[in-house]
Amino acid sequence: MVPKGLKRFLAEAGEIGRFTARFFNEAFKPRYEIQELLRQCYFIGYNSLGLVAVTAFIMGLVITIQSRPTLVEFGAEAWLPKMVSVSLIREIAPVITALICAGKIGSGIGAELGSMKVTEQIDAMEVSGTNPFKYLIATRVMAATLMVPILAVMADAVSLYGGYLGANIHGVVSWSLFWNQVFETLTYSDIFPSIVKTFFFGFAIGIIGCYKGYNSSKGTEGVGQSANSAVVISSLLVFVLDLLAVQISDLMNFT
Amino acid sequence: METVINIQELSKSFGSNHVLRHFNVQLKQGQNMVVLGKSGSGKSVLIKCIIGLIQPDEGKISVLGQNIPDLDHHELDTIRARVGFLFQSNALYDSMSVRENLEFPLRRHRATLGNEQVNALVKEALENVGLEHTIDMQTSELSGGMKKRIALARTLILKPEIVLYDEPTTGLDPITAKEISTLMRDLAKKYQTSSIIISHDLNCVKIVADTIVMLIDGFCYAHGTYEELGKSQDIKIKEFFE
Amino acid sequence: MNNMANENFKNIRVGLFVISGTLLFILALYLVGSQQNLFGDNFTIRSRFYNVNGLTQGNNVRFAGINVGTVESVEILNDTAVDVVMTIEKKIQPYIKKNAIATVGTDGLMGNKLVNINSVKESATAIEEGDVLVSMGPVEMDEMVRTLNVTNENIKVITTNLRGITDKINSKNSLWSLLMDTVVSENVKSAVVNLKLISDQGISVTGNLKGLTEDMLAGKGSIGALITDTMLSKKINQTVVKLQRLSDTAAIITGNISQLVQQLKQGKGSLGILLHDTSLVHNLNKSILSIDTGAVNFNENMKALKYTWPFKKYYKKNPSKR
Repeated sequence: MVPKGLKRFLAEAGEIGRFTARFFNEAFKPRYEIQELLRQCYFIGYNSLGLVAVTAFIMGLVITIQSRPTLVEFGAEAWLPKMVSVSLIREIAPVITALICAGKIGSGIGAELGSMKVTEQIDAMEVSGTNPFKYLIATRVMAATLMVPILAVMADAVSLYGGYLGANIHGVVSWSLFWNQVFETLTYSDIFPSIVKTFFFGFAIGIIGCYKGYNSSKGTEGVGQSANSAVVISSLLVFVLDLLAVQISDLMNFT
Repeated sequence: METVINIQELSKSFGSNHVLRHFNVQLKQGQNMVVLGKSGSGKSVLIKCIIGLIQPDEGKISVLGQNIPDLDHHELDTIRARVGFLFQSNALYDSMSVRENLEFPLRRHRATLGNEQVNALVKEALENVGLEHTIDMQTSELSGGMKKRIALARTLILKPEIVLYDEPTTGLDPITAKEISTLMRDLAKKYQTSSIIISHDLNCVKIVADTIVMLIDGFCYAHGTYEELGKSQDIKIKEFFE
Repeated sequence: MNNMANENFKNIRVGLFVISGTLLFILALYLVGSQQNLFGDNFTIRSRFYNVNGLTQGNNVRFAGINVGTVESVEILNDTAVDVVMTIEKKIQPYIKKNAIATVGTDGLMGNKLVNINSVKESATAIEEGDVLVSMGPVEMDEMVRTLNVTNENIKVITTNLRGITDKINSKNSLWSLLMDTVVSENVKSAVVNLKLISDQGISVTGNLKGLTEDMLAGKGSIGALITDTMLSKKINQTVVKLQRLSDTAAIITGNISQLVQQLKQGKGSLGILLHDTSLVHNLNKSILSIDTGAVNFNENMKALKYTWPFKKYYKKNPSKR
């Protein structure tokens, strides 16, 4: 006998798989909902910028301050920009961005679509000659897939700036020396895998949020649940994807 | 009179719950038909089958001469442009203003319309429900009655030949419910629509109904005018008219 | 059309957002690329090493300590040669001469490996595309550390000793007076020479005395005469007594000297005592002087002894013994 929990998990995974397949089936056929895509890009991308920037700035600052004592112990204080830039670009900025987006976008999409489902807005769209899957799901998933990488690039920049300030709290690293060291250390194999994986993060956040909202059960309780589980599952998925991304880039020798 | 909706042997079940069992009904042009029934008796399922939101298990649903279950997405859209649907929960789009809500079906079903024509139609729809001043408000700023009126305006903005109302007066106070019912009757007359109204509000039924269908246990239990059914001695019918 | 304007405004912001994000990304790619000399004019040179010590693709190439390029590839040619291809900025080309030497080094103590290109004194023409630079084996960090370790141990011992010495020098300044006193050292020198003479003569005198006594024992006839001659015997007596005294003094002096030398050898406190004790220095001077005069007197005595009667005969008989 298969345990009930496992059965439910597998059924859910299968449903998400079918939902994803439906996305690929429908998203790239006309009609294209460009205006709605732009609207979602505005909400998902532009509106998240402030939150992502603040988080990234703080992470950059904190990581730099926290890394310093260890480096000082080795007498390698001059390596601070190098070490910080690698950890920020490769891991911290993309993952923090994805997590913030999972929290903000995932719950937003989950709650919005959930309440649309509950109040029959999705049905209303359908009878208004609109494919709600294209109009609501495809645009949101695409917007999340496209905006999260851009947010991650900005988070990279802002967190490095935080790192610059952090390096200057106890020591003195000039503006040009800092950036010189950063770009001397970074290679394409640091930047490309970290940006490529954010596309997957964005896609996962969008798909999970939409799936949970679109399949929300009736009632206001259902809306809350779908928002909540959208955040939980997409955050978890971000880490799983990150693990996969690291393994794959490791296999491909992007070290 | 021409038959605009002809439902034959319609069955639909959710698991072991048989909501509709071999249901038959005809709607003549210009007729306002009320479907009376208890909550959960499958009234909403019936009209959602008619508009193609729910696929029936078996049976024919002929709307304006076409069998709904056989249609593909594109053909369904063509029929939907001619059939209005007023949702129980109004289904106004939260993220849009009143104007955008009204424009939405126009821009979707009549993509060729110019901006001026769209504006004229929006204005007309709002005048019909007497809420011209709300045009730039967000839907969250509206009261329940106003929301219902806007939803009605949106349903009628495409000038549909058939309108399906899903419990239009539920959740409204008696006075507003009466206003909405009157408005429905007047607009049906003005645009010469045929309509199916799902309701269990007798005040509303009294105002709008030309004919009444009793949906009990998944099939058509009785039909007739308000007066005819009101005089019925059948226990199940009498339950509704007390 | 308030709505449309608002929508446009939002679209413009989305556009700005996307464009600035993309520009940032491209800027980062450009900056990383320019660090690796992916853009701009480059040329390649190569060098062959026996051992590249972990040098890999992408490591920096430095000319006179400036980053001028990167390692493009590292390939094994055969069992003793590794071919390293380097991409170098074109503008550096005139400065690198054909006889420049490439070495594999390390950035700092623990940093990345890199190739150092250094010029040599001899002049040569500028390097060209595809040239092969002469290489020098890499400086093995491990080996260097090992050598440094031994050196450090030695230095440790030396510095400890040095510290003791300087401490003593600082506390006593009489060492300087001793070292500066050339007279003392001269005297010590001559005293030692004389002492040697004395001991030599002493040996011969004792040898003579032995022979004399043997002769006396053998030559019985002359003993009677010798004994009767009281005057002579008194003189001999006196001479022997003098001789006795002389050797006693010499013994004391040598005793002192040996003590002195012992103390010097022991070092530590006695050295200090010796060095700071100026009166001892004076005494040392004096005793050395008296050794000197003693030795001179001894010589004279010996000469006189030669001409006295019983010995005259002996000396005549054995002239070779002198």
